[in-house]
Amino acid sequence: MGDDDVTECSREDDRDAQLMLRVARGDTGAFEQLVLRHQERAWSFAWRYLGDAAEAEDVVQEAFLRILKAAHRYKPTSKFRTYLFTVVTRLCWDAISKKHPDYVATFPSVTDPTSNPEDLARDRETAGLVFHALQSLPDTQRFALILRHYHDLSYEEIAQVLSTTPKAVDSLLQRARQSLRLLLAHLK
Amino acid sequence: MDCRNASGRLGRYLDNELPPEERDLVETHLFACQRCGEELATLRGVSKALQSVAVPPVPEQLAAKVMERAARERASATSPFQDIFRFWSNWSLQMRLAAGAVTLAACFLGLIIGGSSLSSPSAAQRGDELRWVGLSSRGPIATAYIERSR
Repeated sequence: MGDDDVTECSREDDRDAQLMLRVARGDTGAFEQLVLRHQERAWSFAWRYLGDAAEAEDVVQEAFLRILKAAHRYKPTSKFRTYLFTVVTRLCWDAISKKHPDYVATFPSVTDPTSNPEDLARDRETAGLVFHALQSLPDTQRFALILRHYHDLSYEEIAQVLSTTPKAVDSLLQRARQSLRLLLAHLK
Repeated sequence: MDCRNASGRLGRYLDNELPPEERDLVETHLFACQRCGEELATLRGVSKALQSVAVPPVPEQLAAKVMERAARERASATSPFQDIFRFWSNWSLQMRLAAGAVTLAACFLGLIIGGSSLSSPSAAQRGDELRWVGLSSRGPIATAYIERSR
């Protein structure tokens, strides 16, 4: 990450902190701005974790509402996105404790539109296997991998979200990657 | 650095989580070790495979639904007690302790003043004489006049 990226991230974090302070004072416009700024990352995390669109949408809505209710207690001691992921993680835990999500038979895959039909079919099959492999990981490994791989959180930030240590996060990621290697080995 | 130490650091190397000096040691080892080089390539392959799963787009009107629910909950939940609670919880710990101390001091002072008036002698005990003077009435209201004399 270059210096410009670091400066940009810092500006974004400051903006989020300012918006949350306004939300704490009852500014609904500021709350809406926060939702629009972060809905995509909240959605993608919840969907990747739960594998169910309806459940993921419920979790994301509930997450933002909880953040709104707790806004008067919010203190910008960490980045807003870390706080958001913490709330979404807790709600995902609650969702899976109620029921285990079924394997999603249909899901989008990243495909090259110029690919031939055979390649598209193979890509789709690969995406399906990868998705299933991800869903089969133990919960904490799955949380850590999604936060690291798809949301670029540092080990320190992941540790905050999961209420653990960076060393434990390293261990979770090692085990997750090892499991995925074994599950995906036959793709080679 | 040997293979065992390097292998255990490849994940953090891939994630840019190693301190600079450890990163240099791992890179030096990777330059010379084919086995660890293949291990790193496999980890990169796993990362690439994970990218193949795209996320569906954000549901339509998600933000609007959140705002709608927020407005509904706000309308149904507002009560004076919640407002008071929210006002109270916005105070810092020091302010709450100060408010509590002032309240206790006021109660204590009230007890002292009340106690002293109880302990002072009443008019009768002082030997004052109360004499009936008269009665005045205006409509339903009647007023008794008395005077105190010693």
